[in-house]
Amino acid sequence: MLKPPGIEKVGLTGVALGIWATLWLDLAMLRPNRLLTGDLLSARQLLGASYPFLLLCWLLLLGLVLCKKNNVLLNLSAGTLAGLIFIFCLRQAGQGVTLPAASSLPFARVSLARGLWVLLLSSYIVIFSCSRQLAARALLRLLMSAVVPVSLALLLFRGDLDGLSVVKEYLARRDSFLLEFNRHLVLSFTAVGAGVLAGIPLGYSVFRRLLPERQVFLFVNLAQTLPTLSLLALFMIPLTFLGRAFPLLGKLGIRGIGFAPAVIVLFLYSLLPITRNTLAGFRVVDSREVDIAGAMGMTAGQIFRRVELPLALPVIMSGIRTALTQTIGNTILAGLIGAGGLGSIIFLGLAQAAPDLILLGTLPVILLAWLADWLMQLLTTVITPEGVRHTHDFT
Amino acid sequence: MISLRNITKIYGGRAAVSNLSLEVSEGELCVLIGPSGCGKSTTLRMINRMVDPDQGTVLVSGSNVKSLRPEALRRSIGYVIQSIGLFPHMTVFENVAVVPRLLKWNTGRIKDRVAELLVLTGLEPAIYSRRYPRELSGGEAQRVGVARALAADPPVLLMDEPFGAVDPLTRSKLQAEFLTIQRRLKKTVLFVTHDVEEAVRLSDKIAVLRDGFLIQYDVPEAFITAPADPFVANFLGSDFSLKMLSRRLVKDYCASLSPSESVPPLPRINDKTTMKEALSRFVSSGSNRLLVESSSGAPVGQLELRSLLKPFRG
Ligand SMILES: Nc1ncnc2c1ncn2[C@@H]1O[C@H](COP(=O)(O)OP(=O)(O)OP(=O)(O)O)[C@@H](O)[C@H]1O
Ligand SMILES: [Mg+2]
Repeated sequence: MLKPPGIEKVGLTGVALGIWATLWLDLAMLRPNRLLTGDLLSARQLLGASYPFLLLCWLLLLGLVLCKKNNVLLNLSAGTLAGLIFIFCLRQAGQGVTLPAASSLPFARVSLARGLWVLLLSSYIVIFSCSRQLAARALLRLLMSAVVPVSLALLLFRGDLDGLSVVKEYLARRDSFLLEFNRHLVLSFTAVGAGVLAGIPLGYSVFRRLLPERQVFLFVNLAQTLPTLSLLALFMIPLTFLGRAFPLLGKLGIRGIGFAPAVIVLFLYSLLPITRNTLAGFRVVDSREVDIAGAMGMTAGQIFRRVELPLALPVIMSGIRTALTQTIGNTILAGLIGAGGLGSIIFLGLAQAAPDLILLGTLPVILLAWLADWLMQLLTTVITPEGVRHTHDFT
Repeated sequence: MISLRNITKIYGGRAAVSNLSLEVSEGELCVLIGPSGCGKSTTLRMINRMVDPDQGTVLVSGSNVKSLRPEALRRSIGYVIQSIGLFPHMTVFENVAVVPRLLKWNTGRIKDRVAELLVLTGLEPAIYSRRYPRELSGGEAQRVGVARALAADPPVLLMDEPFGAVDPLTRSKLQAEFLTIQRRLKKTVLFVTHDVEEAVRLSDKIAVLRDGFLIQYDVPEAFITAPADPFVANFLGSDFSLKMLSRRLVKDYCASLSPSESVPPLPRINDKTTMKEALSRFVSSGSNRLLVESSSGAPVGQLELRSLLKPFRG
């Protein structure tokens, strides 16, 4: 840290946003059924008796943010509290269907309104500002950033959020949702798995000068510069042809639309970060260390396993992490070419102009990307040798 | 112990080392010295086969290194370099244990050996074992580098400017400690340096190189009496004989006091200091005699200014 940390402007902005939303914005809308709009509910209406408690929480958070500086415990508390405030409001929104106003509505449901999204943003900002101060404590930071998603999962599991319209949407089409969800996972992981299998040897071969760097990166970059959709279109033609010409291949899914073109395109996208980081990872290893490892009598294999790989691995892992989060998002587009995945729910929602359906597709993608990122960060932290941990930034 | 026979190494049409022959006997410390780019490191690296000569043969302990597996050969030769090259992801313990582990020693033996070497190089094992290289000062890292090279008790050590990257005071201290270790362990050492003073202090023999050729190879005294050519004399410097005084200890040149004689009121000097320091003391005190005392302060003799003039014999 170059200058001593003063009062966190970022953190304060987050708290201000949150208080603004609590005092003046509507958090939710109580709707009589799937189609009709209904009455907007402010935090005061939604929370009833626990409204003062929420205000108290905000005051506490304000105090924490004002004096946390770079104190580990205070940052940890502030980040956790910010997350819990959002979760609390969300839970209250989910319980909105039990309000007296809803008693006469048999199909009542609650949609999230502007205020709740602002609250989400506000807690994200506070958590971000706290985790910046915890940069040196990677594991604690990961723990803190898991508060919101884990509590969210808990609420969903307990059925506390069953009153939310998006959850109702899920309950109504559970089977097809789970199918698309699985599809999404399979598409993303197949693509990134192939990316790892191809990208690491590719990057290492460039490092060893077995392949020309310029040409390899020209090819790998090409996929990135074309928009995903045009790349998809590019593959539709030859794959359609292949599928027609060889019916056996067609049966295996090699067709112009569907699984094969989607995976190929996603794979090409994941190739760049993995190849690039593999090359960079091996390049950061000091050549003098490799030299002396040889002079001490290590074989080429031992040098690779004991010196090069452990030092390169953190950088390679962060490439895989980029590829994975990016691919989980990109997989949405697979919905456009009949390959399924959560994208098909989103596009269905867009076609029907049903915001809840769009949310039902989008929210799991965000959560999946977050989860993948979180797990990869954890893994990278754990495998990074202690002696060089300070040289890597895991954010 | 080490014989280089007519070795030549060509890089891009230019000979980095030309037809060089050199014998280092067992237990001897030979210093390679010469201007930058004269082929010192290349010569060193041909011994552990990090570089293979284009012509000539290298023998270590009587066997041609070409007939040995490079890995096996290298595990039997300690190697220290200026930038040290400690592995940043390994603790001090793991760094020192690299070669013993390659040799598949059992854990108990490795543990004992590492502790022994850390003590030998002046590092308290309890404090340093679990540190990482980034948590060491330059001098401490150099000590670990030396400990690591000695780990599997190799008969031969190759040291390429091992104390080049530390301040003069630390360097002098590391040299003194290394001399003590070397007197005890009697390794066969090939030691590369730029620093004439370091060469004089540590060497049994000095080899002067220029443009890949060995110009002169002899005991240090010979360079005073018979430098091979003006280049050698010039490279070693006009104050070479002064530097040579640092090889002599006061206690070997002092005349003993007769028991009846009373202790004369003279400037005092410790008997373990070098004659170079004694000269400095003569100059600073203006006296032509010094009283030599032991470390406990007891007078043991006196040193005459004249004794500095005792000739060096090559
Ligand atoms: N791997 C190599 N490829 C090409 N030329 C080399 C290589 N290694 C050394 N040389 C050349 O050989 C000559 C001798 O190099 P060397 O490293 O042995 O010199 P040195 O005496 O150790 O120099 P210094 O004191 O600067 O370390 C130099 O001209 C150098 O440029
Ligand atoms: Mg050199």
